[in-house]
Amino acid sequence: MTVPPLTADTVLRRAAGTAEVEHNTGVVVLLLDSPDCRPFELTGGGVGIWRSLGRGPRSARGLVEEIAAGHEVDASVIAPEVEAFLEDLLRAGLVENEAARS
Amino acid sequence: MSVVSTLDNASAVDLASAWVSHHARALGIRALVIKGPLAGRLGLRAERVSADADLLIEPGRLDELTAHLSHFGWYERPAGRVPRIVEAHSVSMIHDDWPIDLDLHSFWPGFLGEPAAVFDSLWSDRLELSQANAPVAAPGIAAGILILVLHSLRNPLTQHSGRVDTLESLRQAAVATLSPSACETLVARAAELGAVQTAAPFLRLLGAEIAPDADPSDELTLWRVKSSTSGNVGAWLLDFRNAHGAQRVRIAQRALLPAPSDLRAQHPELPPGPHGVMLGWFRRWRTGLSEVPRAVTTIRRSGLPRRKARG
Repeated sequence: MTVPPLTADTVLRRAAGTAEVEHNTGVVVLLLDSPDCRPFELTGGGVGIWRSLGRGPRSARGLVEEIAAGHEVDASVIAPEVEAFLEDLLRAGLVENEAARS
Repeated sequence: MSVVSTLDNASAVDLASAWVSHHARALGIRALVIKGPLAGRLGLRAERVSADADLLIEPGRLDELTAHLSHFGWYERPAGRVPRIVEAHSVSMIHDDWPIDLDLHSFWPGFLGEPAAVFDSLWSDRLELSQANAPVAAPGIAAGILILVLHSLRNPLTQHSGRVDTLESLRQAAVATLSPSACETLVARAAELGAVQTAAPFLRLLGAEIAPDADPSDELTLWRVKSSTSGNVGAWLLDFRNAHGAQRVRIAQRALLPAPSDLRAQHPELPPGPHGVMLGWFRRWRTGLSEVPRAVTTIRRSGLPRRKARG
């Protein structure tokens, strides 16, 4: 899957058609149209990012700031990790680039 | 983030129910999630972890759905050659990365109405719910209870094994969810679905007066044989009774000494090697032969004409 480069201004939303269950170590998410029917497990900080996206589309920068505020850390410290995770979500098809949809 | 390597059963059942519902909807096939955790959340049974995701599929569309699902790595679980009293009503599909079966039912045994009409009735009364945070449809409360009741009555000797609900627990669930008119509601719904006689032991438990059918249909008679006998003994005996000569010998051989491949398909839990096959045969003889006298009596009393039995 070709994924447009992620920037701080990229607005992301959860892909339409996902199923998810809470798990004792995180959240298990299945993309309902995934060609191989393989669920992904989101753990640690990934759970918070997924939940934030569940409240509606967010820019990458907005997500970083939201997570930073929630954990009382500097946004610049967590930005690389959050952005890497968002790229994983994009590659897996679990989130979509809002701009690419229109 | 990682691909899940060991999916637990509870998560798998919820996700798989949502997944099948999604694909059925995309194909324009109506599907109802039955039994399982949804029934627990609706208060119809105690919540427990299921080993399968059960869905009732619109009659006539099951093959189309299973063919579609096979593109995603799901394949039909091999089944041994076993006769059935009530005709085969479901397909079990498995996936190498999933710990559960998809049990896809083309009709529900015990609903003796015409299958398409029964499904239409179930669909018109459906509940639109969320499972694994995705939309699914489930039968209405009364129909959902009757599905569990018929499942329990169809497997009489497992009622105290914890694998099916007891009639008493279902009675309590019915009273809790449908009061003050649980009995009337369930009798009326059973009538619409052709289940007054098949569900009669449960409806009587609720206080309904259900007279036995003096002139039962063959389907009802077969249901009574099935609900009075354990496992497949009754089906084997009916097959044997309807056969002649060498055919009878082959049926007896398949019943008593099934081929190892058939035995393992029916009992995947058997240990590997010849020892496992011997163990399977031994268990079969022990449980099956002890059931023969009761099954013979039940079939004899049923009055089923020889050629009406279904294999």
